[in-house]
Amino acid sequence: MRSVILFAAVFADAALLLSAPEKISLAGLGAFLALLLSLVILFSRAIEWPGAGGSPLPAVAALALCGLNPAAIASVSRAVDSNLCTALAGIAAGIAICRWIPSRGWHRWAALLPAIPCLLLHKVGIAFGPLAIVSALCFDRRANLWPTLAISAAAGVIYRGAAFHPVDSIVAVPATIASFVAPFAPSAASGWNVVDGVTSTLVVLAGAMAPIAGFGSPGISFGLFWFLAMTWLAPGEPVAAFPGIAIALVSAVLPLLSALRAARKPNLPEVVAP
Amino acid sequence: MNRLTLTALAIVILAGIVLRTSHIRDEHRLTPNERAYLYDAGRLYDEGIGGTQALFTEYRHDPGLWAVAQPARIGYIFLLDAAMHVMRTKNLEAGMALSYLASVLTLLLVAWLGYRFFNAEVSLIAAALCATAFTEIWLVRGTPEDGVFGLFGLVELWLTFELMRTPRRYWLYAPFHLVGVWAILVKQSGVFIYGFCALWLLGWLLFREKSRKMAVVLAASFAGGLALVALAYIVLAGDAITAWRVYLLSFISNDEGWSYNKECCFGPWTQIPRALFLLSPLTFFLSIVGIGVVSFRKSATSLLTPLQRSCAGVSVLLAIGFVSMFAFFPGMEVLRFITPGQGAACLVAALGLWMLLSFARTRLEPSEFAALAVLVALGFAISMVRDYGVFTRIVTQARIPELGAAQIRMALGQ
Repeated sequence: MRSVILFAAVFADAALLLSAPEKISLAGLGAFLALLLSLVILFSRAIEWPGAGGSPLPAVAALALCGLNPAAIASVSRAVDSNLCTALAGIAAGIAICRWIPSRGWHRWAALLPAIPCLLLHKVGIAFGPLAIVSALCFDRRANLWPTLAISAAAGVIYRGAAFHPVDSIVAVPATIASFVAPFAPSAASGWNVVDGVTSTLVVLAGAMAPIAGFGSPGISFGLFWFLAMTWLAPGEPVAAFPGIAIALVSAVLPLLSALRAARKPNLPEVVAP
Repeated sequence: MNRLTLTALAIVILAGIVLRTSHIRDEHRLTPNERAYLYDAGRLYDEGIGGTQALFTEYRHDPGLWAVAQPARIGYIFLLDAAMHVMRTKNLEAGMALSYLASVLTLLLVAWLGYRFFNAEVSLIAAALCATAFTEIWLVRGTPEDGVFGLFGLVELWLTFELMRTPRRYWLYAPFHLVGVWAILVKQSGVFIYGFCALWLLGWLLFREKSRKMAVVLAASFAGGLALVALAYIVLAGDAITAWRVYLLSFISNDEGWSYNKECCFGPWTQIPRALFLLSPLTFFLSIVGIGVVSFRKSATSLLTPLQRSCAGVSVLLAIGFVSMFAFFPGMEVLRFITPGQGAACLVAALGLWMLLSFARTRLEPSEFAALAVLVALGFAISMVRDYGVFTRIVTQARIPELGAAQIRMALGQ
């Protein structure tokens, strides 16, 4: 019930943001809300707050960060790519299923159910397999997810003719981060060059690898890999990349909050029975 | 009221006043009624109160004037005349000042009613909804009677609340009836403001106070109030036949009035709720939630006192009454007609949200409830910005001359 109340509030805010009477198709709105719904499950599974007793707050914060971000809303209402939103929803749902008691074998097959139809809609589907593997590496190394890789390979074959411009993708890395951090600044997403792109990509990659070396939580790694994969495959589409930044950001902040919480707890002297 | 709520309330009210102030001088094409109000009030300004007989007689004998409803709305003309005397001018400035004052007082009264009869949170939410309410900002332009009429509706609601709280404060019945009578003199549909409130109060006295005697006195004084309206018309018109004829003619349109109505105010009944939703989805949904939770006996009884439930009930009656009346009335699908229900709807919507939050408070941990409060505040900020964006789009870009539901829909491309 706690989660339902808080997530419902985020959904209501997102619906209000999209309710401005600019034209937004019903299909686009439905796809965006479906994406948020699958992100709810993904965030609940991918972000862990140690010692908080399963509090839904981190997932709520991540959903609010990417679902209510003005840059994401603007891109959705400007040119609603319902195919992209639906494909992302499928990927998020697939990975969430992988993360749901991953030691059981049937999950690797069940994860394909939402993913396969969505992969056919947009080239971001290519990222499904690698991201599922990254999630397994980050959270549960026992999981066997080779079928997801096969699906991604199939998606790669389908979209082999799709346009791909490495320079655009590289430059999109700092531009997407800037539009996430400063969504109201009109110039945030422009004026970046290849040097900025390469530098920021390397920094993000280093940040993504750090948890594997023992620094930071695995959520940071998963989030940053999601961000990089989506920015490369769909540059200039904040809706695709923002969930990754949100996961990474919230995962990075949570240990600090836990430390703060622990420091605030009164250190009561041990009561010894007489 | 704690300091945070008080600060938020002050900010909301200030924002509402600033919005109203910034739109007084928007370009606005006067409606036939507004031109007639200015003309009639100008006549009274020159000739004094004795000039009313000439107004009634001219209206009776000149079919060209039947496009407008004067001087059946003599109560508004008197107020406009008073504003002209205060400002020492006969031009539109006086009407604009009157509309502006009514709109600001409506905002303040909504906040006061929420605080006095419910709590500080309801007051804050209701004021926030009223601050950016489309019709309230729209009505500060020009000199339509509806802003003042809406204020009369809210004042009558306030007096009803007070009388339900202390039914034996007998002197309060005098302003209750006077405001009701004046509301009818401001606009013919004022009879519904007076009637709805008197009917609810009658039920309260009969079933809650179990005082048949007070109920009978109220019913008799209500009938006396209607008689007072008739008497006022007769005295001001000079004779009963002119008064009756003018009153009847005020409901009849000539060709000019009919073509104006056809242009702005026809369509299926669903237009009104649809337009209300387009203008402010948050207020629309919260009003429905408010009506739902107030009607749902179990939730209402656990969170509200009988007096609060009754106050919410009469607000629901006024809001639904005015919205449905004009939604189903052909040629009357204009949002400014439902202004007496506007403040009541804000209160009901605020109550709905407050009850949802109270429900959530018992189920969430303090940190989670704080997060919910932030999300709700964010939603309100989004809604206020959005609603104001819609207002500027309709008023400054589409420049619709009337608040017809069909015109609003067209202006928004729906």
